Amino acid sequence: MSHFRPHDSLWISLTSFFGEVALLGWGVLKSVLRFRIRFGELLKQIAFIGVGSQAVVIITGGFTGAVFAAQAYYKFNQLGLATATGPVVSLAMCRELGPVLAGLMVAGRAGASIAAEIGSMKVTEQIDALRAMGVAPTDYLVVPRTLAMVISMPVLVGEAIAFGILAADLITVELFGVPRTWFWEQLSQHTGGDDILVGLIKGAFFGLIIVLVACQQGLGTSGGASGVGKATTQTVVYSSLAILIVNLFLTLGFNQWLPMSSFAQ
Amino acid sequence: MSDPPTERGDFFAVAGLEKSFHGNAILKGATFTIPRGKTTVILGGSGAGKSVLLKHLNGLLIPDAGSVSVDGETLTGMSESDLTPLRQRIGVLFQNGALFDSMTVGENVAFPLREQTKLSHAEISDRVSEALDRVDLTEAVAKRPEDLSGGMRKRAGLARAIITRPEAMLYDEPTAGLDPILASTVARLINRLKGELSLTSVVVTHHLGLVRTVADRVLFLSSRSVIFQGSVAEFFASSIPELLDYRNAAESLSEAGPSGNLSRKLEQFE
Repeated sequence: MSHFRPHDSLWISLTSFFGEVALLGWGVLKSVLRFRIRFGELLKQIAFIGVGSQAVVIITGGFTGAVFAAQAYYKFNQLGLATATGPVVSLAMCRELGPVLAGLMVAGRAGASIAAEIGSMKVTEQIDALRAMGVAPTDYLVVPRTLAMVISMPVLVGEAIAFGILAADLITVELFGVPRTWFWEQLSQHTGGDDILVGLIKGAFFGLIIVLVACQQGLGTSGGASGVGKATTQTVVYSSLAILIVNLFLTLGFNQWLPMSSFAQ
Repeated sequence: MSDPPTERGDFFAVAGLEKSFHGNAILKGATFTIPRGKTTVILGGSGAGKSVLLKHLNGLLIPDAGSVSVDGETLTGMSESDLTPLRQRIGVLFQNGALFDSMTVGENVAFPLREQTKLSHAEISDRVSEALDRVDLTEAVAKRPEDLSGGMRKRAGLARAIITRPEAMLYDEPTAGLDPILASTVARLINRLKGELSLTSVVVTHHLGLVRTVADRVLFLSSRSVIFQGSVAEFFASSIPELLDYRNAAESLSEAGPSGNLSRKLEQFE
């Protein structure tokens, strides 16, 4: 698997990058359909990606919800709409901030780690050793990480949303004195299952992007320790950019398919 | 694409092999055979393409042109899944052992059996002990790769490579980075395994000493191709200029070693 190379034109590099990611995704799909799943490895990866990323995602979600609630309250209160703080924060956390911020944090933590681990295996010939023993690197390395990421990300997004909303409750109710009943009444009226579902589906999408980019970069590593560093950095940059860009299209699509609850009613 | 010339006695046959990386030609028209049950040493300067050549022998690299056959089966054009049964007949010792960092030595050595066979835990454990015993490394079974010396890593890699009882072994720079005592231990192991397992062995090295200790045949790579293939006696008798230069350089370097003239001169100077 090749890498971005300085003498290639940007067009060739981009085509090569997207082609390699797509081929990797196709390889994973084929392995999953043939049920070539290593459950022991899958559990290990869920522990690393899912359980290990909880703290960072919860802190990110919680503080984002708190800050957003504070900012929203200051403006809405001037307009006499203090109770709108809850729905605004919850919709933003469910549909955008929860999945995007969880995605960016997981890209930085787990994506970088996956690229570094696979990249180190590549430069120390461990990937060649796997192939020489008749073990497909896709089956052994990529499939468990992909499944673990796609399983873990919706859970992590759910946690980011939940802690974001709980933090908004703390700020709005405990700090600014908005009655808790009003906060939750308004929030539940304007936030539905579809809003949460959008966030969870986005999370799974972003997880897929992170893990495929990380594995593509890891498997394409060359040039020793500096190559591993480059693959790690590129994983974080490319997957973060991809999350932000893909999020726009997902938002446009989901607002047609699963529009916001308050407007659908 | 022409099929390589195979004879009943040849395990590997390579014809017109060409390989480039990013436009740089590494191999151009390499043609040779590796006889069954013998040890063939591949020599050549740094960057001559020795390791690249070795990785073509079990399909880890795909040639741009030419063909490679293993025991009469042409690898060229095979898919990764078709290559699996062939690869399982060929063990590889990578330059630094290529042990999996996340596993102990025992788990590393057991890995090919866990992946390729349905042997019970007890049977795998017995085979691991046997393989580690062959390379005198039984004491390291529970150690992690990072706790091993360079020589131990190579021996652990060797145990992992032979545990499936392959028909052929590919050794990539087996003595690189080892002191002379460890290097001679590895050379003895190569000879011992060849005898015990009737292996066809291919050894890529810079180390002229290995030619004297393990080789039945020698290939010499230069100018992106195989410029010499023959017996050890023929290699040392050859007057091909590249071989002469290589032998002279290797011998003068060995003279410059701890017991050589250069060292003695330096001692006198001090």
